[in-house]
Amino acid sequence: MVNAMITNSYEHSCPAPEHLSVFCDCGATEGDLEMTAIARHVDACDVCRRTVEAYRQLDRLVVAVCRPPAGLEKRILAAVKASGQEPADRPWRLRAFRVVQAAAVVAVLALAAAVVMRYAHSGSTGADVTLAQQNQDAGTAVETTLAEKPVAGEAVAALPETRPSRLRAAGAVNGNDVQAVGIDRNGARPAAPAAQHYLPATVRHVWTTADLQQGRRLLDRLAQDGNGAIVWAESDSQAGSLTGKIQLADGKLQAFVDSLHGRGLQLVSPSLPQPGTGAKVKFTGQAVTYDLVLVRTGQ
Amino acid sequence: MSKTAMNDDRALVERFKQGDEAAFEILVGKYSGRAYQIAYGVLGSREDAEEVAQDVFIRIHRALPRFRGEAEFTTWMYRITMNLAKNKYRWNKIRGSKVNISIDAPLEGSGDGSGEERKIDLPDGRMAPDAKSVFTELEQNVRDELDNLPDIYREALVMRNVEEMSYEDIASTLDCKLGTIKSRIARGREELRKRLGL
Repeated sequence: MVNAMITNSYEHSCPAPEHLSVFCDCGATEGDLEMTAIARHVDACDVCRRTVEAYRQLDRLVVAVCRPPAGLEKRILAAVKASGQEPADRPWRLRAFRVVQAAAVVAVLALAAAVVMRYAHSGSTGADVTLAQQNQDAGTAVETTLAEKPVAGEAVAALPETRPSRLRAAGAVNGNDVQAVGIDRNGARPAAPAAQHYLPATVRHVWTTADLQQGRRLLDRLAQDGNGAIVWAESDSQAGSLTGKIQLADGKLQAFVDSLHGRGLQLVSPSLPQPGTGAKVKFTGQAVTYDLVLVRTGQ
Repeated sequence: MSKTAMNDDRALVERFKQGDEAAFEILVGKYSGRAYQIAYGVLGSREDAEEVAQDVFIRIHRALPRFRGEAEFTTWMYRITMNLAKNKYRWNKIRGSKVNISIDAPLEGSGDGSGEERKIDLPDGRMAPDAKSVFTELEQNVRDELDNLPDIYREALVMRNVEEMSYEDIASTLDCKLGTIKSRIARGREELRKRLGL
């Protein structure tokens, strides 16, 4: 008997959903005994036939809801244009990039070496200090391991032939020093640098405020500070929201969002730019259309 | 993908390398929807998927002159899209952006100390009328449930149904075993069916 038929799911000898799913995708071909058996079963079994029909209906719905939004192509081309980047195939540009990349690596290594040298010299005995932090408070006693080591710069030949004896000592270390040598005081690993993203050509944000008119005046003032003006859509005075539009350079938009957040408005949309995420956005100076909706919070 | 289509893509890439921007526009026309759909499969958010799709073609535009054609254009584009979508996914995860906020939930920092819930008066026209009419109620439910489906199931389902990729191609793209893909697709379908009561 075919495996699929033995793997009972919920009815007497019905195939498992996984087999019905594969049948739904692949159907039954003449040589495929397993799928042929499933096809026969599906014909005869109401439960499985309904399951397969439901899967097919779902497949059609998934296709329908995944349709790309209207105007996507246009917006992509606008974003490419706005990114202001010429194709980077120019050999001189590639070479220059690689030179800068190499220089950056060298600079980072040199900096790291300088930091290591500085701390190697910082102790009066020239000792290498390994810290095991036991408490987060400054001035807390920590266990300290001291290893004798020649002063940096001494010739390798001058190293003692035998392995230096290691002394264990308990001493007080200032919490600030602990942080200064790169140990996170909370024991957490430092976060990796965040990835950067371009802003799309249009950003839509919903902000909430307790007083619509006050919020509108604040927005107008901040927009003027950024040398822009918000065009507000006509709205019913009783409406609980206002809709406006402004064009700002991407850098200014980030500053605008930061300012609004700093003045107590709440952003409820998840898309970039978010307050305080300037470091995560690549600013190219491109103009961004900012659609904003100001919504009154009710009691 | 047919050989003719692949040759077409090669010809378009060559034309772009010679400076013909229109060739790039044709490539965007052919593949922007796919980039969006792949990104949507990974991210489950239309806004994020569009952001990724834009980023994909900005990068392709910059890198295309260096594209040597060792792989097909589509394979290269899939790879870029998957990488960017996964980066975005990780970034969202760290930032915790994919949080469903109930509009009835109390607003953070409401400040009056009363502990009472404050409701947001949403404007009526949040979804453009044209977009609104396109979606039936069932489609809207499918949309919501698909967004909330575990990522690994949604990703596989979208590749299978929308991209019409074979099980083998999905397994190779996601670097998984064939059996894993069959199982993910089946579980995704079953989960959706249960959630939607079909």
